[in-house]
Parts: sequence; C-alpha cells; structure tokens
Amino acid sequence: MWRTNCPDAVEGKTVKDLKTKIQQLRKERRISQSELADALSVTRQTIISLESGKYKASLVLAHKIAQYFGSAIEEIFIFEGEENL
Amino acid sequence: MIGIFCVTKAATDEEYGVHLAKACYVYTGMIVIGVITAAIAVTAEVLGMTGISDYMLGLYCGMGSGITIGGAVLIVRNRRLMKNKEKLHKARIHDSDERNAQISGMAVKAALAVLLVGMYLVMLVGGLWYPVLPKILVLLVVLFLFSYLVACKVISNRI
Repeated sequence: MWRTNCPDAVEGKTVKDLKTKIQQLRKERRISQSELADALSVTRQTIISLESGKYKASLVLAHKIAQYFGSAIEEIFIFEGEENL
Repeated sequence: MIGIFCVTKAATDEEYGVHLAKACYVYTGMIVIGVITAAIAVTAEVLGMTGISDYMLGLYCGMGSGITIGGAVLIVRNRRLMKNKEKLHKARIHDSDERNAQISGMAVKAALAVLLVGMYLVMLVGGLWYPVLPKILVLLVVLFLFSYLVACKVISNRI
C-alpha cells in the first residue's frame, strides 16, 4: 500500500532516504533536471530532492514520473526494509 | 513565494490566473481594512479624543498604512504576473509544487509551536505587571484549539 508523503506517518522516526532511479533514467535519456521538472510541472528543486532521495513523491507525482519514463512505479522507486510489508 | 496564502492546486496557467484574480479581491479587502484602521487613528486625532494614547494612535496608523500598502503591492504583483505568461507559468509551478506545499505546512507547524511558547512566556512574565494579559492569551489559545478541532472535523468529513 502506498504510504502518504507525510513525515508524521513515520511515527517519530527520521525520514530515511528513498532510493530512486530517476537520475539514472534521466541521464540515459539525456534530459536535464529543468526539462524533467517542466514536464512534470514541479520545480527543479523537487527533482533534485527526489533524485537524492530526501523527498518522497506523492502517489500522483510518482505515477506521473513512471508514465514519463514508461516504467512501473516499483521499477523507479526502490522500497527497502520497514517500508515493505 | 512559499507561504500559507500562496499554495494552489491550479493544474493549468488559466486556472492559476483565475486564482490570482480572486486573490486580488482578498487584497482589496486588505486595503479597505488598512484604510479603516488608519482612518480610526486619524479621526481620533482630528476629533481630539484624548482618551486614546498617542502610542495606540501611532500603532493604528502604522498598521493601517502597512496593510494598505501590502494589499496594493500584492495586487500589482498579481496583475503583472497575469500579464506575463512566462512568469505566470513559473509562479504557478512554484506555488503548486507539492514539495513547496509540504515545506509550507511544516513551517506553519513549527511557527505555531514557537508562537504558542512565546505566548506562554509573555503570559508568564507580562502577567506579573498586566493581569489582563493572561486572560487575553488564554482566550486566544482556547480559540486556536477550538478552531483546530473544528477544522479537523470538517476536513475529515471532506477527505
């Protein structure tokens, strides 16, 4: 089940960096962060935070990213440890 | 500008333009409130109402002027954004960005915590000299808690 992007939902634990393949996929397609940000209607800073794993995208944004790259959400966002059932 | 009043869910530039146009009405209201506030001070001065201290008259005048000018500046800013498509687009992206919305929400929570602690300290220390301060501040805290509960209830019914 997708977890909402809300630090409170982590119940006092620090938000762990989420691994994503966004940077890898972006570079494979030779797309800049600005171009990706424009395509997804977000700021470049959001793309930077997504790529570094500091920010967890909402379900809608994750879906948009997956659609943009033509992949499944699970192939782009890698969930490890306690985030899995 | 990231702020509690600047987050929007507009999906297109046209929607955002409508949002900005509506915001101009709010800013016009700000101007009216500012003018009324300043007018209170000026009227009291003209009518020679000596019961009101000069400090309060100055405060009303300053606040009224500030709110009026603030409203006017925001209206001008919005109108300029609505005329420039590129800036409008950039502003929409900035204001509708979910990360910015989250930052704004978290910042409001942090600021609220600081405000509550500050109010408590003012009540604790200021109450020693001005007994009316604790009453006013407790009322404000009660108002905040009540508003929070009502908002939780309303929002939980909506989503």
